[in-house]
Amino acid sequence: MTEEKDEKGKFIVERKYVDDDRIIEPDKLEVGGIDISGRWGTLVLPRTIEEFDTSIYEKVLRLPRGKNIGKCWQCGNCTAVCPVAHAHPEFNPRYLIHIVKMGYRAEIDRLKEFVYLCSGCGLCSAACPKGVDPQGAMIAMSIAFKSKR
Amino acid sequence: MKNLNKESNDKVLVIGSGPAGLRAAMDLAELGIHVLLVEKRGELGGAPIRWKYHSLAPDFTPTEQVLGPMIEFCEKSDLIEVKRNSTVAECIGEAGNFTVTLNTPDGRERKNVAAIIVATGFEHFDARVDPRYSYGRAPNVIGINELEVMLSQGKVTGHDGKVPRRVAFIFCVGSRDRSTNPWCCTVCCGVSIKQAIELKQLLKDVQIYMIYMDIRTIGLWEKLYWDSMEKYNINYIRGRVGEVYYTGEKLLVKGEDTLVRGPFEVLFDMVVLAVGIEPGEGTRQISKVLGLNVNEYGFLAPKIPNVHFDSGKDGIYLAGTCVAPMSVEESIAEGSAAAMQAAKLMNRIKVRA
Amino acid sequence: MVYLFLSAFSVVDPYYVSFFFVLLAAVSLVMLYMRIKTWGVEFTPASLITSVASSELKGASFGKKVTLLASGSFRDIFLLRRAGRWCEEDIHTLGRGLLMWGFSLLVLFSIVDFLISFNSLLTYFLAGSKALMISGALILLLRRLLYRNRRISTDPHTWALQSLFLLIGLSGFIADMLCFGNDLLLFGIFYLLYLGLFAVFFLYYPFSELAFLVWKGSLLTQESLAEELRRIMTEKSESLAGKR
Repeated sequence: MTEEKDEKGKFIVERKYVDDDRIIEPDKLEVGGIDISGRWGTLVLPRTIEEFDTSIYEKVLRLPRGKNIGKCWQCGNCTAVCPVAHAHPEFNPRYLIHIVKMGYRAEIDRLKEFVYLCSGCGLCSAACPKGVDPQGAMIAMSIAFKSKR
Repeated sequence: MKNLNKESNDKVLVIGSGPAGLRAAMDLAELGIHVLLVEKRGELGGAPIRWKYHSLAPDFTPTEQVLGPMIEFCEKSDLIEVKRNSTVAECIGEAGNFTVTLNTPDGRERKNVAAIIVATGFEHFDARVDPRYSYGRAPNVIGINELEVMLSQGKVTGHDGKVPRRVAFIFCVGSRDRSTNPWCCTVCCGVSIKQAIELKQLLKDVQIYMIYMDIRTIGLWEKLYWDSMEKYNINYIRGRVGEVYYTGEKLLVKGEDTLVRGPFEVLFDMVVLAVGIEPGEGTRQISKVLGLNVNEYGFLAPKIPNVHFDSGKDGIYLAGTCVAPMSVEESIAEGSAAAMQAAKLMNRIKVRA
Repeated sequence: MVYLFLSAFSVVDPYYVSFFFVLLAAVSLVMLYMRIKTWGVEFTPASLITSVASSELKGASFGKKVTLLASGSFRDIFLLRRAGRWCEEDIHTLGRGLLMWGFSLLVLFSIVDFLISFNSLLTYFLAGSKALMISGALILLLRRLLYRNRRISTDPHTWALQSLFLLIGLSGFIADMLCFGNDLLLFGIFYLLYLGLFAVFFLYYPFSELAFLVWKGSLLTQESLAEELRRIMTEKSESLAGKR
């Protein structure tokens, strides 16, 4: 009985709010004469968006197959048919397009390695109602994330 | 001089001169039937004229082009008697023979009419009721009705006269919410997107973010949604806003981006609230005077929800946004439908006489 | 024997043909380099080789690195690790796989053919690899042609590339079948067609999505090699620590 309870809801992909990358453990940390050495999570990032970061979005738009991502209305048809997404939930074409358009850098840094999982099957572009060509967007993003221009 | 047969029973009372009322009056007059058009405000035209709608969805038709001819016709027609700044205070009688008492600037007047068409329209939700958005407290938080006035004047600025660089449109303010109004206003999505496009055309460098729950651009209005994204670079954030806070310089909008499943906080120069359609004071008042049924939302309830003109009372017909939220084109159609019912009644009376 | 016949057609002297292919490959490599540079990224095929050759990637000797690279590439190309085996789009994977096998085997057998001086031992092997290419390209094309939504959403470059592979395979296969026959003219036509289409392919592919796939494949190979070496390093240091 307990086992059934443990398995329920496990298919939901939870987001971690504590990032392993942002845990620091300095040998000695002293503030105002008080020793506060130990393991600290540096969760504090500015919350307020003063300017949206459109640099990556513009990079993707410039690459030939990424020019249509402005049309994406986040319906999720692409992720729904994507065979890779069903095996690896972190590869989510809809979400990748969203974070690129919005310029959410923290999410882009977290997920950018997964964009290379795209198998190029093209089912997403076939399912897309708006002609966004997510297959092309994945290609453009794969290049843009490594591009220095 | 208008030739008005004051004592005739061959007259139809049209209450309200919005798109529905104007159309009803026009159709009846073109059929040769006398009309008494009663408007509680000082000018004809209803919401589009009161709020100076710049253009109408979906094709940006100038309001003037649609409302202008109707207003001109009603003002000039020999068969239509227009009573401005007037309301209906009492009504007794039955179909074919109603006696109504009007409150006019010249005092109370008693009229005999054969049929009544109710087209009392709507009011925009007063966003002060929902304190989340700081409407009425923070500067530069405006409603879509107020933005429409600015657009028709060709000048959109904040309270300090400065041109906004980043504007947020918040959808579903005073609608789809048990704590304010539980219904959907049907046209707000389309109208807000229309305004966003016009704003982008006016201020080329403005960044616009539409913060929405669902996008309900009805029927052929869908084109507005597609064009806003594909041609005008307007951004969409699916989510809800929890608070609009004035920092002293800008407006801090705090909400959740549903697609990221996380909070966002963005500084905007101006926030436009899509304040929805709700039944107005005029509708409430007329339902009491005429003894009409009102549904749980406060709109006039037809006998069957799918047949709007039938109020359930003989001789009284309903049309337009006093029955349910709808677009200008639908209101115009409903005005015609109600006029048709009134004309049929007039025919039956003439045959009997 | 076929090539002795062909020597009469001096234009298809097999050594000239080899030179022709090497030249095309070199030109297309230069074009590929220039195209990849316009994206603002590093030219990963080259950086892959240099990272194996240099001492930058620590953890193993040069020989070991080459072995790792070879076994990795074998898994990628012949066991279809790169073709998308990690998802369930089997038809797509199969089509790509057949194409990759066919093309790789074609290159491999052609090199061997050169080394054994074209004594036509390998004609059937060459024809076989072309048959694999044909079946792969056919699967990929039909997969897109037969479904309306896929058909209307496919990029023109994709049609061009897949059709080129199909036509190269077909013309080459037919030429191979005809080379033992009597009609030398017909053979000549198909063979020249084969060479011409291959030339088109080499000059075209840097501008197609194949350029991206080559770049991405090299990038991922480089990263998995680095990962593999890191793993070896950690194992080494852990076993050393354990021994103490």
